[in-house]
Amino acid sequence: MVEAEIDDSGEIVLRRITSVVDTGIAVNPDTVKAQIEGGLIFGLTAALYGEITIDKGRVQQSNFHDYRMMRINETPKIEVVVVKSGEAPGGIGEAGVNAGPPALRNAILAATGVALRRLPIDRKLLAAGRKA
Amino acid sequence: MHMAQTLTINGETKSFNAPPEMPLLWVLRDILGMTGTKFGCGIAQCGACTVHVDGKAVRSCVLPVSAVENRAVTTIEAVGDTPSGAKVQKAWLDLEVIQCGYCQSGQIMAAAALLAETSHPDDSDIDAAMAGNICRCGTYVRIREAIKQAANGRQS
Amino acid sequence: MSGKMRILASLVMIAIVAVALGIWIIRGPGPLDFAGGTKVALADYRAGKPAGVPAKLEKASLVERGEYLAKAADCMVCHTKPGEKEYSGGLGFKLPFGTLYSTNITPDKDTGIGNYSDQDFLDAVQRGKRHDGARLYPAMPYTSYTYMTDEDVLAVKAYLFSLPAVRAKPPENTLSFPFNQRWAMMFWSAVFNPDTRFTPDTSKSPEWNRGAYLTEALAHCGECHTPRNLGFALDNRKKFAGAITAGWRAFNISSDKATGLGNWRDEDLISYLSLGHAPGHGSASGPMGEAVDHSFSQFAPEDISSIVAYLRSVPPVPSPDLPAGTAPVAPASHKDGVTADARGKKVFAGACVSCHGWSGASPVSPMATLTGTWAVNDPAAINVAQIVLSGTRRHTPDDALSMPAFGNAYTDDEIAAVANYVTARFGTKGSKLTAKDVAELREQTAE
Repeated sequence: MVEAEIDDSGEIVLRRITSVVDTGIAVNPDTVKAQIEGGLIFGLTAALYGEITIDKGRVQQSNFHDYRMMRINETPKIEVVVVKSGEAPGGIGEAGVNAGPPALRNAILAATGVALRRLPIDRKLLAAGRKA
Repeated sequence: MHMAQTLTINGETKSFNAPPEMPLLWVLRDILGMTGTKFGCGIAQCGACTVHVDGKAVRSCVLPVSAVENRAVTTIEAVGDTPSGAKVQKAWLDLEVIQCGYCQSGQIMAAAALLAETSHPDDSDIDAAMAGNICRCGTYVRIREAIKQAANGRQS
Repeated sequence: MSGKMRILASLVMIAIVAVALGIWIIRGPGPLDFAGGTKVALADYRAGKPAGVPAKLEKASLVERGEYLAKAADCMVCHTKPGEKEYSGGLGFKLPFGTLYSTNITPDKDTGIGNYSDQDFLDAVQRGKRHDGARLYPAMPYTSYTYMTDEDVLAVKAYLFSLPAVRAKPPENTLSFPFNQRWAMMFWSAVFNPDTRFTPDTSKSPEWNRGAYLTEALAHCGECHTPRNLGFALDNRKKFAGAITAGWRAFNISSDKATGLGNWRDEDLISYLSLGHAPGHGSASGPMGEAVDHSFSQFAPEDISSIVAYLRSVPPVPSPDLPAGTAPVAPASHKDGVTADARGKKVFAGACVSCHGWSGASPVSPMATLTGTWAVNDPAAINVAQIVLSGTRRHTPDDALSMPAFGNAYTDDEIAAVANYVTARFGTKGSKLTAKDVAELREQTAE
């Protein structure tokens, strides 16, 4: 679950993320938490900034000045709850990556009524939708 | 043009030949073989190359080596010998901050410089000092916690 | 003549006088009129040699002399699209009424100037008249180049004709009516092009005269640094008082102490022109960075000194929209000083502080120091926003200055916010840029 603030310009500020994960028997619960935290940030970075464009067969983005990463001052509090389970241990590697973007998209829908259907999030679309 | 140069790195005097405009990072890694400091972006956007110059965090990828003559350079190899560096490293291990680790020497250098200057940083201090350091694994939550733990000397 | 006819004739006379007066008022003084001394024909001037090349090139070939002069006139920057062959044209100048593309001035016969006779070339450079008789738009600064001697113009031609011919047709201009009516430029030219060669001033030193020739005829400083009048020509009543060109602010270079160059030391001016940086005054970027890289850095030292001597003599004209001086260094801690714009601070902390520091004194290079620059002290923050949008890459002797372009990954809101934060923290007065302002600046940059 993502809590976010969205202003009239389409600017998004993440406030809090809560994630509950059932991975079967958590062999190393702290690593499970770390993977979910990191995966969420990775996935939300893709949702917020991860656009790759191609011109004449070449990728236009070259470095962090034109391909942004979420930074520590954009990262909200993240709470991860690992469900106690007796099932066989499952994979945990990328679960957070997939959870972040849809949770943010649904938070935006709930806050603004704008139903985004493409990633990364288009701030202009969001701003226009919010005004409409 | 290569020139004979002398630097003080981690308290030791190092002499080498390098063009004066060569960034310090290249001197450290390619000439002196000190590969703990990492190359990330080369444009001061990610912080992986952070070292201390006279105790302050500086991006060595854009710092000409000629600019650090007669100044004290500290790298990740020796930051554990400084009081703030030792605290940071301990907190990092206690909280298992590191995932892939590539950015972490830069993160630790930035955090150690922050604590050396501000012994009890609040969240805004952490943002101001650490926002220039990117972590692709997303260890930011634990970095913040570890800095606070290092400052407060709490044991986990 | 009947009474009616007499009245009509008087009315016509009055109308002619009114138009002439109007033109005279709009046109204002010429670029060198401020000096006011006694002028002599160049051929009769014996005290020095204002035109031509510096002493070390006196004996050089025509092509070499032409190369020096072409660089001094900075032909290449406008006549080259980044990434394309030098002098092959195609750089787009975005104007409020459409885009104007520079031409191919390589000796290609079909798409360049290969068919130009000496007279054709003189007509183009000094009179704004194309080979086929059509009129050039004054984006080509022929009202400055008109002061060049025929000999120097033809040396430039010899240099251009020594270059490889490049087949490259620039895109068609997209100017709207009435600006797409080239013939109308005939009238503009008749009013605003003096079509006269440089005449030395015997009351001034030979150094000043050389500086005047270089500054006005070749380097065409006024084209960016002098405000324009109603007719889009240079308003020399406010000579060198600063203006906005191609989305960048060219600052005041008159001798005004507060907002111009009056308080710069000679060595600062020399350093800024020849290296693009002066300690405490910042670094040249944008169009001035290009002018330094391709033009001023190639000048002989005595020519730079002449320009400085000349600039010193330009009367002070204050810029009322600039503060009376630049702000001192900001506090070392992010918590002290102005921190009004939270979003701007957030962007600054992530993308900017590593090079520029919280104090504005760069931890990595004096060239990246913000303190003391007019850019951060301009309450309109034009150049701050521009450099964030498009970055800078300067060819310094030790290749030490480059800033990436952030325009593609940061929104107009974020760029406005960071510009407002930067001007508030490091300048005298914070700007109030909006996303719309930044969007407009994006539109104006030449590409």
